[in-house]
Amino acid sequence: MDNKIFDIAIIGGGHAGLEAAWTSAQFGLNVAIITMPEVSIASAPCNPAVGGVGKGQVVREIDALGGIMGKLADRSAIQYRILNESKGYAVQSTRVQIDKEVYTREAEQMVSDNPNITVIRKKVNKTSLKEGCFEIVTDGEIVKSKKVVVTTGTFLSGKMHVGEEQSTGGRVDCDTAGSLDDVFEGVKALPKKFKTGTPPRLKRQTIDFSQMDEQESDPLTMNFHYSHDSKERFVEQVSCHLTRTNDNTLGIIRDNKERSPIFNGQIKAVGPRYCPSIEDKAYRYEDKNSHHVFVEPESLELDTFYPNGISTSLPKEIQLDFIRTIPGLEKAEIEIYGYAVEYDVVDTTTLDRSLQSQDVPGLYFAGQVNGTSGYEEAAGQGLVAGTNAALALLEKEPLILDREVSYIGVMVEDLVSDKRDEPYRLFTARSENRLYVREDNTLLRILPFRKALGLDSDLDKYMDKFELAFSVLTDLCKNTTYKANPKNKEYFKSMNYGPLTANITLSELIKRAQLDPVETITKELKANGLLFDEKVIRTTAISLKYEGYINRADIENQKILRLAKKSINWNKIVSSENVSYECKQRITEIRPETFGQLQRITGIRPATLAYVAGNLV
Amino acid sequence: MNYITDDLPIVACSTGLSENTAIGIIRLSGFPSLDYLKDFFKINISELEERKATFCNLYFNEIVLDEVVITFFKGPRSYNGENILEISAHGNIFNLKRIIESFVASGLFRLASQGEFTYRALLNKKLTLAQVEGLDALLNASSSLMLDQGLDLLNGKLYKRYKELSASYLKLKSAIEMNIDFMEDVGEEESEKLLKDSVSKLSSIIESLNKSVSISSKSLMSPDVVLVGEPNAGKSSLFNLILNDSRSIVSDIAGTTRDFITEYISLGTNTFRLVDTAGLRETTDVIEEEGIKRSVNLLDEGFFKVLLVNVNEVDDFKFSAIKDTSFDMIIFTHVDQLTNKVSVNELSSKLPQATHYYVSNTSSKNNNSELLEVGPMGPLNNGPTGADNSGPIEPLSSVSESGPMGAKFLGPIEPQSQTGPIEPVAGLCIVSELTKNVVSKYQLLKSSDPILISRHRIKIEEITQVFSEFHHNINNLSDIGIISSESRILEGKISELIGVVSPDDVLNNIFSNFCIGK
Repeated sequence: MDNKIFDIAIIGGGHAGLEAAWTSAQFGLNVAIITMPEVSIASAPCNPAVGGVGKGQVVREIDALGGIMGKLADRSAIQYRILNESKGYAVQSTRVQIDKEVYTREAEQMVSDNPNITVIRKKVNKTSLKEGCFEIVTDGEIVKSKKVVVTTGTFLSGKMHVGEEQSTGGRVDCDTAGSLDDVFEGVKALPKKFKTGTPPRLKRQTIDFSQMDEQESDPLTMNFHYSHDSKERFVEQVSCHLTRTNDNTLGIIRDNKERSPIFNGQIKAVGPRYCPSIEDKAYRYEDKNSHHVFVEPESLELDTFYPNGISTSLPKEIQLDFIRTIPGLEKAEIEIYGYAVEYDVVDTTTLDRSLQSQDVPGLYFAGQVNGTSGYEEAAGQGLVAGTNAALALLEKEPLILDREVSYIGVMVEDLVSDKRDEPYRLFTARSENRLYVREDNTLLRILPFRKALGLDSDLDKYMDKFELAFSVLTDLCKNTTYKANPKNKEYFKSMNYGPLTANITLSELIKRAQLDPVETITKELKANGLLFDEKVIRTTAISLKYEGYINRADIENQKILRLAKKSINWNKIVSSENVSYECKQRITEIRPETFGQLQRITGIRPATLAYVAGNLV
Repeated sequence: MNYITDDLPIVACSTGLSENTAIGIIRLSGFPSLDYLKDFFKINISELEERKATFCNLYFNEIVLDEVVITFFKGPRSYNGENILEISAHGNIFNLKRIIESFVASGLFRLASQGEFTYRALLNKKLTLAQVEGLDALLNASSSLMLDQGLDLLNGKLYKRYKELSASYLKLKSAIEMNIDFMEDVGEEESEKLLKDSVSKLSSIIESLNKSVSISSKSLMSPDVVLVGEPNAGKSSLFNLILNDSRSIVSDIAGTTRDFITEYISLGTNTFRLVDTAGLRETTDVIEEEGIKRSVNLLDEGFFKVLLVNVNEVDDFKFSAIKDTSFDMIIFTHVDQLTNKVSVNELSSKLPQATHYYVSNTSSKNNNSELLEVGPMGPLNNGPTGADNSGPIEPLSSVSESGPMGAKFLGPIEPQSQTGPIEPVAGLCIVSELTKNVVSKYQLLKSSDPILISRHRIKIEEITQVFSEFHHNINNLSDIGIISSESRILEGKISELIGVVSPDDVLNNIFSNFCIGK
């Protein structure tokens, strides 16, 4: 056992840990991933999918900052979809079903190919800071590191429930780690544990797909990773299937309410309202019996299917009973039973915006241990924590993503600004700037943040080229004018562009409600024999389309933003007699740095805001 | 003025310094404890009981300034949440000024800015922003309605309506977000329905608020009862009759112009301004034309509009400037001088529309009213005014108060030229009809919960406008991202109205309306 000191040690090898390791290794630092022996890197213990509304943006943001998730998702994607396709470009998001076996195998491969990353497969028992260096006590070895990123997911005090059966462990067939306070000295946990759950996995041969609606993979959905050909497919494409619960399904669940750990008091932790178990659905919405169940393949190599929408912790025999009431699942057999898991969550209001603990400097937190749910949220935080640990070591400015330009920024600020009382998931509704924070313009949004890292890689070169092409095409669209002459009038008619009564520029033309901006620009460039990259056209067209709306919204936002961006001195607010006791308490806990953060704290009274606003200089 | 204030103790006179009065009240606010004041009072000041008046001397530099009564309000149980001492001193302006200057000279207090006492009440959550506005309305009210509104705001009744607006907006916003973020969970149909329902609910709330501001605030704050008519129609006679009959409050205060006369009168529980306008007639005289223009303006802004027409001159009535005015009362005068039998119906068809029609003699002595066919007739001019009212008009069954609305016969209006005796009973009749109509119209407006505070009126108008654009968008756009973004503009307006997070200018604007020490 050598006495090597790592620059950064990452405890946990899930999506957050992998991203933290990958992005910090970009800086040429010595990085260790310390992960449970029986868990493979970046496995998918729940829903085998990456992306989704808002989350698709996160994956692309990660990609634009040099992260790994987009690449892995593309290479393992077995089904593509654009969500909200009919609802306008701003709210569209990409989601892919992944082959979880391929995903984790590729991840393991890329990590082992990376000379800067060392994987240590040991359980961590204790981490403490000694003379400016962290000592991480594992089973049989002490690892030393200058910075530590904690990405332990559900493993701290992990406890699983299947009906009356309870077992320790962060997930099925896995060990548990100690409690947060035991493993990490000086770190504050939330008083209440969080809970999450997963549905049973079903055997392929026992499912009758003929009774379900098929959802095929969309060949036009664009890949996440910037350097992948946008419509390339790396593995075989398969379908998902949709079926529904019915009166009988919910009847069985309601009849067994007293055996549900969530409702009989066995589980005291808080689960996410936005991702309810089937028990939640049954007991809380008594008059609704038809719920969607998406039957998703977990891997082409595996026999198991993931029935999305019926996460449960009911006893095994009841799981089987209710599953078999669902059309197509009458003869289904369960390979792995659904379960709920409770786990410790760190109080994220003790972190700053680089995700570093304010109580233990040098210690960073990311992922589910921060009370979030979702692989994408975890990866996004992993990237922020890993990058910032590296930047801190290199004594550079931290990476703080603004909430106005990225969903990761929204998430991090939300996390550190207020205590969570349920697991946190990103919704596009959490952004004030949805028309701008889109998938198509991710490279442009992230460019300044990426450049500030000073890595000057292929990615940086690609972004520069992209930005240049974008601004050239934007100018072109704004300066191409169609004169209202008979020839053009005829042309507009033949193209179904609507009437041409006065001179109009191309950028004005594509704003017409009945026209698809991307299609229109593509056609016009083609007609003029001009060649632009498909992604550049898309970004330009959509940006032009929303320009006016974004400006309008901006004026409104500016008013609020100007104030929101101002720094505040929370110490001073707390010492003021004009602020109520409860407000003071909340402010002391959360330590807001800007007026905007103060505003987002629940329970802050309008009068306190008015007071602070009035006293800002 | 900027309300970035410190926490220093402040002093100001709460009763005004413009006139000598028996008592003037000076307030001290924000001092840490009674002990802070020990140099000003030789009594055992720190033992002063709260909320009890104490008679004592007020000292400065060991010299007695005045004999005063002091009352202590201990924070947070005071008007603005701070420690307050109210000093009732002798109300001579110089005395009060000297006392205030002494407090300032001591270095222990600074002069309060405009409205600063109340500003501190806002900061200390003693009052909400809307309540502060209510207080402003209460203190500066010029009509009983404005007083009521001030109270409504202070006790939160109006605020409740705004909260309802905000809650309803929140529902809409949620429905939009549902449509974007939870499509797969909720399903297309249900989320579309939610969106539709919430839009229509919000729409009805905004509509009702808009109704409350659509009434001209001027007509409510200082409501005019305007009499118009051709020069010989009998306006002045009616004007005098009303004055004789109602309590004239102030003497003629018009003064500035010769072209109309006003008097304040009290009808019911409210004060109205009675306006006798210049006679209306088509003219080429420049000065007369100017007078008529003013009359028309007065009429446009008037609260209760009365048109008097000499029944014999209806055929000649062609005053285009008031053609589209909707009158509250039309009175046909000089009925006793009618020579041919004629129906009100026919007469009315030649005039602008009105809610009530009356006929009147010049005197009661030769009552020829039978020459005029009175009722039954419905309200005229539901359609465009003009010739198409020639046929018989069906009475409307839904017509208000006194059954089918017909022209009522009234006592005579005494023509100015008449020298004979006045018939007081009959005269009273027209005044009481007018009073009844004015009061009931006023009550009706009041019951529609008008909103008078101009900042609110402006904001509600803006909300209405933004919402109508938004509504248009939501019906014509499939791009929910844009709909959501546009909803933020609406949100901004709503929060400006409710003042949840009040931009500095709102506060400054409000507080600049306050006098020092209020």
